[in-house]
Amino acid sequence: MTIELPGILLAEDSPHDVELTIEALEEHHLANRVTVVHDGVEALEYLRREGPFKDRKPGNPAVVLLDIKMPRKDGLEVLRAIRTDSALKRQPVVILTSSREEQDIIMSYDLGVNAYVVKPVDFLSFVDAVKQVGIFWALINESPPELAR
Amino acid sequence: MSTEIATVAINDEHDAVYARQRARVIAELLGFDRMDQTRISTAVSEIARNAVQYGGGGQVALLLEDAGQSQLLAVRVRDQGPGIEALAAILEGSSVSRTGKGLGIAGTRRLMDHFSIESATGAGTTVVFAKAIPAAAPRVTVDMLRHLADMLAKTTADAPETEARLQNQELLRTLEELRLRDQELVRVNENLDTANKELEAFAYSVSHDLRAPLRHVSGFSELLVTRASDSLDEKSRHYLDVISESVRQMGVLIDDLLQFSRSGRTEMKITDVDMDEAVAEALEPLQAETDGRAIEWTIGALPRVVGDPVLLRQVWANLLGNAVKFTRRRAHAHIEVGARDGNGGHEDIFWVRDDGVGFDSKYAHKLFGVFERLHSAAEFEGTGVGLANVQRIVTRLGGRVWAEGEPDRGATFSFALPRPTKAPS
Repeated sequence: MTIELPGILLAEDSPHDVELTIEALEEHHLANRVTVVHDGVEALEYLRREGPFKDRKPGNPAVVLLDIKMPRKDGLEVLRAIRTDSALKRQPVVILTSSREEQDIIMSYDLGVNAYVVKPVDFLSFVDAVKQVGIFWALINESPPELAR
Repeated sequence: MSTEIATVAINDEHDAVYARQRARVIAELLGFDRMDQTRISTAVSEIARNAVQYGGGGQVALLLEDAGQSQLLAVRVRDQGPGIEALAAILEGSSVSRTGKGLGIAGTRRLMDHFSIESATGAGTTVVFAKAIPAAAPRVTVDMLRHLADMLAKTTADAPETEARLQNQELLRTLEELRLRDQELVRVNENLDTANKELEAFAYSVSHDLRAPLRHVSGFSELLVTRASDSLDEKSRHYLDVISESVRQMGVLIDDLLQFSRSGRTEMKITDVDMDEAVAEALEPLQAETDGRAIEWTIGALPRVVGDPVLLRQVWANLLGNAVKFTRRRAHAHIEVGARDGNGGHEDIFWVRDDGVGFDSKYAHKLFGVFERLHSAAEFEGTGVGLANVQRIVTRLGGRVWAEGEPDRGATFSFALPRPTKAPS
């Protein structure tokens, strides 16, 4: 039995942003560990192994990168669902968004986000931010024990 | 052409009341609406009473003025009294009548379309005022005037009690009218408020949603550079540089716009603010720009104010940042910051003075507009949002901003903040 390293779940509806994020993670060979979902409903289905993800291997990602503005269920709703779900409540979640709105930031922390990162407009800064987030959460941070089931 | 409709000799208060009644009846018959009837009869009563009180009596004449296209109801009140001395002050409304009652001449003037007064010491006073007959009313003909005169002859003067009752009704109507207008104002205000909020939300989401495509332009052109750099010729690389630079500029623009929109929307946290501290905090991030430059700072002691500390720091950051930026060409620059009393101690005035490039005072009104710039981007970078932000914040705090400048001599930016009427306990 091989041990699967926990990966990164990227919930992002913009395909361009997905592409840029994966480019940024490529350098540290984190890209092949990224799973992409395109809205909040899919993100929860993935985490709960429901719907299209009911047959995926068990074990949850080292970190969920959540965009706020997404179709069907936005990032803040997903965050709320994660924190109120006893099986998911310790899941590390990072909001990765364009919004620097104070109310979004406050709301995220109130809901128990682990980090809040504003996507920089400038690509090099963007790459840098995503890389750091990826390295920290996927490689440096000690995940809660239940993730590596 | 002027035709006399009625004249009333006025020797005492009763006559003034009678003149008022006549004026109202005539105004009604000529087609004025109720509000105007009240205005006209009030004006007649006011001026007639003046003639009795100060001029010892005289005569009120009600006239139809025919000015071709339009017709007017004119009133001439003449007395043989001592004349009015401080006429200019009275007309301005800065002089209050001895009795202190009523509208006075200045108030009457506001009720009418035309007003003139002639007064000579010892030779009496003649006041003439007129109001245009509503365009919707039928044109007054000679026949109508004759009919009017007959009707006036038949109607006898009402008792003073009746007039008092009528005046009361007028007052109630006026109050009702005022109440309705008040309600309307509240409604208009609410609509404005909603429209304003919608506009702010719109500005926010526009600038917010612009960031995503901008990030993509930036990202993919950058990726192109890293991937194809070797196979690109110099010209192609130059194109990509231009794209990157434009993206960077637009990013700054959007960020500034977002900040501008935020400074209008965020709820203010009003508290006691140490302005010395606010200036010191605003200066900190400017360090990178001032390093290696010779700037002589003169910063006076500043009073504490009541305001939002975050927003006030933003005001200082913008003003000080501008001073640093626009003195860049001076080998030795001087920047002064100070404060003084304003408006008889009711406000604090703060100012930032520099000896930089200054500006032509004829553009002073444009300085505080959003995206207004007096310098090209090549000369001085910037988006034209900073001073708009300053104005918006200071205005939200109940203050005002202004600027003085001269090309190549420097500029002074000032803002005044009202002092609280009571010291916070």
